[in-house]
Amino acid sequence: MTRRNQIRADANPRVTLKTVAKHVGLSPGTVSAILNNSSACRSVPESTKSRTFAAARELNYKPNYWARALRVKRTHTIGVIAAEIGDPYGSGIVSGIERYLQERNFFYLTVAHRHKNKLIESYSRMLLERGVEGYITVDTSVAQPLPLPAVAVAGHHSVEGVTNIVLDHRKAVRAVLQHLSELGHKEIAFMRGPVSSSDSEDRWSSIVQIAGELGIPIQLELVVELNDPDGRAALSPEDGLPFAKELLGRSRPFTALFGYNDNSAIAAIRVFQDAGLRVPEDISVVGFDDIQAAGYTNPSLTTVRQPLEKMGEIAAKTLLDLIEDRGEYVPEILIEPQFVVRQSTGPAPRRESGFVRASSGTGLSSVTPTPVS
Amino acid sequence: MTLKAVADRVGLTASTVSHVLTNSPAANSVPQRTKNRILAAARELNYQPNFFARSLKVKRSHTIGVIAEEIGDAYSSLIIGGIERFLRSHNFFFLTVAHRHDAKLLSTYSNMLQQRGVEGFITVDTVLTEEPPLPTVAIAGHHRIPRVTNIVLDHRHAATLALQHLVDLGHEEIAFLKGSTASSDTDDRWAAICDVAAKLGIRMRPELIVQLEGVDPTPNLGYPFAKQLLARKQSFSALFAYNDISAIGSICAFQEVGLRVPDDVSVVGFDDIQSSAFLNPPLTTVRQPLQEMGEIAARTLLDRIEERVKYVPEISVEPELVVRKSTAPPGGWRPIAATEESVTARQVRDLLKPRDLKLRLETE
Repeated sequence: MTRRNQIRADANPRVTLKTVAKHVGLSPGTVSAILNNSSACRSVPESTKSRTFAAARELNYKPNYWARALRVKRTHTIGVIAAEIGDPYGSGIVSGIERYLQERNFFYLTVAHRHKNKLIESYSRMLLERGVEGYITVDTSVAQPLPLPAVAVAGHHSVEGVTNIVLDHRKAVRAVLQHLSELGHKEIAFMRGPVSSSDSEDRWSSIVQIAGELGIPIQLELVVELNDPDGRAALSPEDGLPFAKELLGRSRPFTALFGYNDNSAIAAIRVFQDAGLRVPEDISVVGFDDIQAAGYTNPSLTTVRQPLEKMGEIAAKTLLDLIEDRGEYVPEILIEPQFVVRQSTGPAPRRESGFVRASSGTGLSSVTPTPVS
Repeated sequence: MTLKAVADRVGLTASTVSHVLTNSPAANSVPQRTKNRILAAARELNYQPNFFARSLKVKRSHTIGVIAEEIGDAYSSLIIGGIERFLRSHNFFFLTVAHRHDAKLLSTYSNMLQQRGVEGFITVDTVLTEEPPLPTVAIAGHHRIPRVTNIVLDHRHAATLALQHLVDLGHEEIAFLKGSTASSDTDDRWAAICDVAAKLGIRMRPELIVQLEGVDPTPNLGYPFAKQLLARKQSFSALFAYNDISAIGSICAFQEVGLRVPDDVSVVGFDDIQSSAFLNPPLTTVRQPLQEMGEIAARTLLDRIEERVKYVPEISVEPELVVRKSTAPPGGWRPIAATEESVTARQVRDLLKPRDLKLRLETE
């Protein structure tokens, strides 16, 4: 053990193929064939193979990947620039990227800028210096063209040379509004996303358009905007509470709510239940994203799922095609959403039995459920 | 493709092109239009700076390999987030691979990463069987491997936090969900619980202990076993679940028979996964500082690579108790009472029965 450490500590600059070959008494060609597991070494006995591997390990031999990369001018590495990688959204996408690259012997370097826009440029430069052959950005606004082929997941700006992978918001919104409409809901409240969230604009314009097509009126008194300049309102249910309360505090009744995302929908359910209203008997609630918690809330949440892993895989495939000149550049690829129906939506209550706004203070949070006829 | 080729293409000096491509302060005076033109030319000509040549010269890659079982789940993604955070501030990069329980992939990957010149490995929830060829730190590594540093949670402290909390609330009859044999944390955690329970004078009754089976990552992990516990008709006022997921399944099982959490039964989880705070009721749980574990692993590995510290076989990480709303003083619930009120219980159960989850692909 100490010996191995010493070899490293000596910073022995050149443990080459030749060193290993000399150690085991074979030709460098044979050793190379064994270490690369090439077909040329099929006739080499297993014991010789394992002896060679042991020697390579012992001598801490590192094949000169970089010398080779310099020769062939390929690194088979891409850079992933994400806003976050520890959250369900970022990690879901990265997992899909990894799955695709792994099958094609590509690797990736990851950086997370955590919404510090200044870092984005310096990261793209650092990755460039590392020899990446292209970029995938995740939930990151790319304002300027990048020096390499690039694919942007949830990119909403059109930037020259960058392919945007975006969810089909119109399709998602149509599924939600059609579902509510089929259940008989006419008075629907909406939570509009914060300006800072890149999806807000697309989602809202889709809502306005599809609602128009389906004949669902959008009443201003039933729209609340998560107007938080930092976008925090969309981050956790706690931050969404005041907006749900505001909606309930207005005088106009409604039988369904379309939240901006799952977090704001979960916040709304809590506010409604605390006010003595039942979900979905009195009010149906729909979220967006399908985060893990959406399946565990009580009632569990009807929501739109973004196929994150698949989006990552598509991004990786698109980028590799661009790098290897297989595909034509397209500015945008639309991703199909999935609609997940759980327990938080039900038929609209008939007017007489429907939701009459509970006056404040009648908190019936532990109300005994009564059978629904 | 050299810098010069790009410079020739756009008709500018190589140094101007270099400033723009490396975004150095000297590029501030270059008009945006020119910058775009240079970037487009670099892209078109497939220009790559000579990192490899430099890397060959200095014999350092400043890159490590992260080998994880999974990378998209709540557990690993937080750990990897922590690794990234630390490496970023120390100008190191990392390559990530997920072996998804495939032992053959695991060895292929470590070879490939080595070929890529990584200077060390961090493994996440991965069973190593032999000493890796490079400095290695293993997160949630429970096997002692020579020269591998294991980062593990202090399970004794974790058990103390949870059980002391229940004792302080006045609980005496505590039920336990023991981890399944497939989970690597099970043995350590269970030994710690038994030990701490004895110290706090908590009687561990076999009829209140149920062992989980399988590796289901959904609340179904706990649901049937909580049912089993209820079927034993023994009274208990609190449950210490193996993890949050099984705690969530247990709460479902309790609520289904009309038991209220925490009024009738208190429930404590383990992990503090993201959804724990959003449950109804929000879950009291023992938090594993996953991101911090990632940071500690990265720091330990860099220290080893750069030979700043001596090898230690194990670093233990401190848990934290997060008190939310699933725990309260013991209620008066007795299984016998529940049987007498079985009509009410059945009514409640029928009402709360989850409707079948329908998943349909919208095709329009």
